[in-house]
Amino acid sequence: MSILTFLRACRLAPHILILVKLIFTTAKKGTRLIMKYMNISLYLGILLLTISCAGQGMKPQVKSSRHPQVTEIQEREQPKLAPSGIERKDYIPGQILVKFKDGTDRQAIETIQRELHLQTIKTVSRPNLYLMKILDGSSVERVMECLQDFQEVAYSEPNYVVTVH
Amino acid sequence: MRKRAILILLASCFLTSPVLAFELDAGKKTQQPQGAAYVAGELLVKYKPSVDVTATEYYRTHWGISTLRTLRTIGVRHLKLPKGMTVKEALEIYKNDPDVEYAEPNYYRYATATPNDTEFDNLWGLHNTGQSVNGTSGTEDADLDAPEAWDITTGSSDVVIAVIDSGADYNHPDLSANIWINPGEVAGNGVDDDGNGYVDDIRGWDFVDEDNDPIDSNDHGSHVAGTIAAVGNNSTGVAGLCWAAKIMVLRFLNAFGEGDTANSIRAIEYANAKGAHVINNSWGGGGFSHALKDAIDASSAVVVCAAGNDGTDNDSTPDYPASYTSSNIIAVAATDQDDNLASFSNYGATSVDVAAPGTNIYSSKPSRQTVWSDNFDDNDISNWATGGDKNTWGTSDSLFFSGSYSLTDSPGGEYENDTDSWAQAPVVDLFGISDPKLEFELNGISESYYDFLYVEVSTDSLPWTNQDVLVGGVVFKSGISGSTLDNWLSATVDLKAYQGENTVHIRFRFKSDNIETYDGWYIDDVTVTAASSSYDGTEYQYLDGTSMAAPHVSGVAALIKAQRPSLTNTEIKAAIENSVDSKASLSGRVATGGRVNAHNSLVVPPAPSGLSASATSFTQIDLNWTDNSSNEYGFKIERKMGSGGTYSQIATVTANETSYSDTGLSGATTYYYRVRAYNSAGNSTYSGEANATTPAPPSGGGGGICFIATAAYRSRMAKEAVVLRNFRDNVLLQTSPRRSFVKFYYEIAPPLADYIGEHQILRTAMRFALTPVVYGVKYPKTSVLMLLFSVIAMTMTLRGRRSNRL
Repeated sequence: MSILTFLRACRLAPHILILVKLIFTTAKKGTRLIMKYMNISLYLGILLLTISCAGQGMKPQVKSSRHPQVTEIQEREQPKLAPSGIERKDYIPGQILVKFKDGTDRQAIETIQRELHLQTIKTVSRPNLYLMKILDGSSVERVMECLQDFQEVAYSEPNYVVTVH
Repeated sequence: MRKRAILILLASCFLTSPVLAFELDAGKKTQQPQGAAYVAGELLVKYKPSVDVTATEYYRTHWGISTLRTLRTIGVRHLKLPKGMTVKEALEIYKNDPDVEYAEPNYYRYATATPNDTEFDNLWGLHNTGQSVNGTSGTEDADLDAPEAWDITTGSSDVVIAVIDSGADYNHPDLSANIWINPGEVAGNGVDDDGNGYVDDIRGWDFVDEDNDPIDSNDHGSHVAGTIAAVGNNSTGVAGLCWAAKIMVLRFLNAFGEGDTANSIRAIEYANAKGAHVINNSWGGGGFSHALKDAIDASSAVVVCAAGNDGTDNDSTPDYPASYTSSNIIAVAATDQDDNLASFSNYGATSVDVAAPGTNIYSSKPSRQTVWSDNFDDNDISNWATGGDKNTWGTSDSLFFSGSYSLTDSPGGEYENDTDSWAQAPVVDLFGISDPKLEFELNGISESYYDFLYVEVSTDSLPWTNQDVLVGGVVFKSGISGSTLDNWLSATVDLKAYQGENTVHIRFRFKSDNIETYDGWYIDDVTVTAASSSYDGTEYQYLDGTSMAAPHVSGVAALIKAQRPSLTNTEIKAAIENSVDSKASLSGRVATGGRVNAHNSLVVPPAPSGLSASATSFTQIDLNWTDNSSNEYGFKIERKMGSGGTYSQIATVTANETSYSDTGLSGATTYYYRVRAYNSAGNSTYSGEANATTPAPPSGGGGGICFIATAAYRSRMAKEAVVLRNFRDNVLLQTSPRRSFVKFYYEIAPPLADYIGEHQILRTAMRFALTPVVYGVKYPKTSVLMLLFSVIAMTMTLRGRRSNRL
């Protein structure tokens, strides 16, 4: 009995080491914790699963697998996990499509642009659908909200990204 | 399926075998668009060579059989039978004529001619015999019936299809002849000749690079264009739905297949302004765009949109532009080789309209050449340079995509912390090269978000610049981390910015932080490719997607436009949607519950002919016409008042009807009529026009007691109605008081008659009530005698009863 327990403990040792390392790492990385939360739960899940298998006498995968099932490829810019492994940007940041009501003159448009720090990238459709650049770093949502206050604006919307089907 | 395959009108080349078929059933018309086995009302007769040509005169005068045409080379007459004579009856007549060598029905023929394009057998979506395509076999007739459609039309170079996509390889031998050329633009003069805002836009526009060269640097658009209109029957490669058409190439998706709403709107407006008849949109994503929907709503084109490849329900999760409610959009799901919804295809019982083939679709791809490549199989990277902090770059045989070696940042196992090392490929010369790309295979793992693989490019004069890398369909803009989950993924870097440079340096760079290490990255088959202008017949590929389904529908729309140029976009949409092959697998998945069938959407019935109109009273005109069709669902009757009036549809009648009574008319008025046949594919052209003038109502305002009688007997020609009408004309209208009665009757009768006519029970009751009147009018003397007799009999009976009581 005691031998078996000892053997089990031996089998568990590497996992405990990894776990300790992980906790250490987590602590060390401090602020990264939240961003990595999902990953860590996955590590823990896999580890616990492996441990429970070991406990049942199955041969544990002690050797650190060359390809642990961690996550799919991710980008630093978009650290949120998504089912596809990456969260695509739905629209182009810093750009907004603005449609002015018929008869809106150039001056009125320029006034609005000055006020909200917008710059025309190109005329998308004549007479008055424009693609504009947001110069002050405001979010597209924020600018859309502000544009609603102007009578001259028919509507505004993000410049959505589309892809091949 | 051959059985359902249609079936072309017998042409002279089929006439060599004198097969008689006297035992066949009469040419009974069917409502199936596939048509009957032979043409009703027609016959092919071959006289013996010795027989005088005037022999046909007998049949014309005695039987009313006329000659449509004589097929002179083989001496066969193509005959038109008179109305009412069946093919079987006609065969009997000719069978007994010793001068006739043979007579036979004008059989529809199975389409036997398929185009001679060498890869046609791979195009299961056009013609599915159950053949194995790219290793998968399918189900016979799970296709668009393209060969059958091509017996009707193979397209027209007058039809313009805008392919709004990643561009197209307009030099491809299977595409070049069918590329639209802007008629309003003079090539290369630097002037916007047609004033559309785009200079020298001779074959469309590139909205990505803002130039006039919409060449495809993604493969997607070339594939789509080929499905719509790869040149057919040119002994080369594939055939499009349209053998001839004009593809307007509008590029707004970049080398990675990505674009934005703003440019999609510009592309659609370009197509609208230049008169495209069909717009293919094999792309989507993002949220609802008011502006994009406006641009589509403003289009007079048929706007075909791919439903999307997420395997989800567009009714609950819209995919734009397919999910816009615009009346001119056809949203397309994808089917596989067995007519099932493809596993990846989006669907939508209300928001997706039709399905079309979308798996294992073979079509054109741009020609590419290899500029430089290394597969590491010589286990030698001495021509590469490596360096940096803790550099361990080398080859490995533990993981490889091809051969037995690959390039890796850490051949010895896990990489080290705080690495920043690189492996630089030999210098690549991109001078005189167009559309260069770096392609490689990638497998591996690094710490997510912290340890990154980068691809960097420089020239002698430009610094190292990090490149966007497309891996497994996702664009990584600032390094790759995480895991490929033990899969090899294809990676692509667009080097267009470096084309024309003599010395282009490419390197893989790996940076790790100070915590956690993994196995690192494995790279194989590193290749720099570029566009090529030489073609060796291998420029084709298989692709899957609703992107591939949509162009099948665009092609069908273009065929319909070629066949019937006057149709509007919504009429073309209706012809496609009404003509689908219903499939249980698509029921509840797409609005029509079916897969598009090109042939069914083209089998417009022939127009009726011989329309005649005659006034039978001052309120009624009877129409008669000849039914020339074997596949109509019915006929639509249109009327206008006076030659300057406007036609409007007044009635439809069912298939095979050849007459109609137009009632409730005004007297002394000329009415014009025209009739057309219709079925799922749409309407036939109109019959000739016929007109009739109703007589003036009789003086005193009368016209017919027949309103109610006609309603009761359901025909003004019923003998009872005729009797009453004659009574009116000969008796009632002869004296003034009687005319007053008739006048009064006409004021109250028409609405009453209408009401009676609509109700079976009232008609029966009215017939019962009118019977003694009719008899009274028809046999006045007998009736009087009968009446007298009845009165006497009743009197006697009553008297008898009275005496009994006493």
